Amino acid sequence: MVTRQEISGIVAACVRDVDLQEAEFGIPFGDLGIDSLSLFEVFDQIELVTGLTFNAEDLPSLNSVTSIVTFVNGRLGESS
Amino acid sequence: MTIGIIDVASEIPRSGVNNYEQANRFGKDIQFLEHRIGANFLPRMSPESDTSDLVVNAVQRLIENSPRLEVSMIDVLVVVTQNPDGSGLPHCSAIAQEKLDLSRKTAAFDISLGCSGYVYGLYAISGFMKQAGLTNGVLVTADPYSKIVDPEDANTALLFGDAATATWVGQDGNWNLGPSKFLTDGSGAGYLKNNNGSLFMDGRRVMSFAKNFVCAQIKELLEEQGMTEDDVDLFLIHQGSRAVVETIAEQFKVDPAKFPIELQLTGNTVSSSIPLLLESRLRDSSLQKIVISGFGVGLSAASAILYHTE
Repeated sequence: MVTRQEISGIVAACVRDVDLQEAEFGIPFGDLGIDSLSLFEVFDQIELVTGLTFNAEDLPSLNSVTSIVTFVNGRLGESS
Repeated sequence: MTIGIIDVASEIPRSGVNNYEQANRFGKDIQFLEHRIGANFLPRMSPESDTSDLVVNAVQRLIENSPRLEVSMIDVLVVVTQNPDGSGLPHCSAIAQEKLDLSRKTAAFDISLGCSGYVYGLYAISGFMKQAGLTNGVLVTADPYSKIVDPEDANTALLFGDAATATWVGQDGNWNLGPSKFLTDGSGAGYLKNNNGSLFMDGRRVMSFAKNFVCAQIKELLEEQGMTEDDVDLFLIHQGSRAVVETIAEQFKVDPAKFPIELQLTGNTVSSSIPLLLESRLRDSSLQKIVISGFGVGLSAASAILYHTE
């Protein structure tokens, strides 16, 4: 399972000048100035770390740290 | 016999889509449009035209711009497209042969490639000409994605513009074709495809391909020639988007200014993007060694070094 801190850490590592605070984990990335292209590398990294594969159709709804955690843990739970 | 690039001309439709309006409709801000997509305007072929008309217009521009080239001199016409007239049977270059009134002795064939198509096409046409003993060839890129882009798909509707280019290839060119590398990864075929007439693109996968495989291909090409990045005057990278060119440039140590980004008024014109960059630089004597690199559909990638002959 992944935690919100782990996902926000990946976001911080992949997106320049971003370090999300806990209060921002539920806020859409767009509202935080993080565009969809910036998230490409975030999803690449999450795939590496978790072994999951994201389909293009999955991504639009994964628009915050919280939504990513929920989705990833749901998929990891299904596969365990 | 050395075959090189003698001249390049382009045909860009004047009408098109205001990308600011599109971006607003999709809820994308100006910052995203200008700094990540990089295109303000996306040309669109007129509804009455077809791909062969773009081909014809580009070749006619080439002949207008090149006093030494006449229609009767063209030995081979190659059209790079994956969106030909109709189903592609007959091939677009045959339709264009008739419209241009080229000699019946002209060899005409299409190459089915997307954004890597110009680089592949240069080596295909030059090899064909050398083997067949031909003197003057015209390589056309004409791939109007407006035929397949879904205007409701923000992933693609903001990116692609229609354009065509024609490159005169022959002896005594300004630029000789140097070493080249090609790559095909069919496992990525599903990331950029025509789904029953509608374009689908997994932008993340394509970006990842560009960052990982295309950069490695260029570096390998240079290393094998005993060259460094500093030996290259310009890197003319397929203008997939501002973001992808910048992502590639970041993988190199040289000044990012060596990776021109010029898609503001055209968008991603598929296989036309590299010749559009070349067109204005052909006679720049300060440029001696250029790397060209196209990548996309397939997935595929092709990179090459061009040497200025003067």
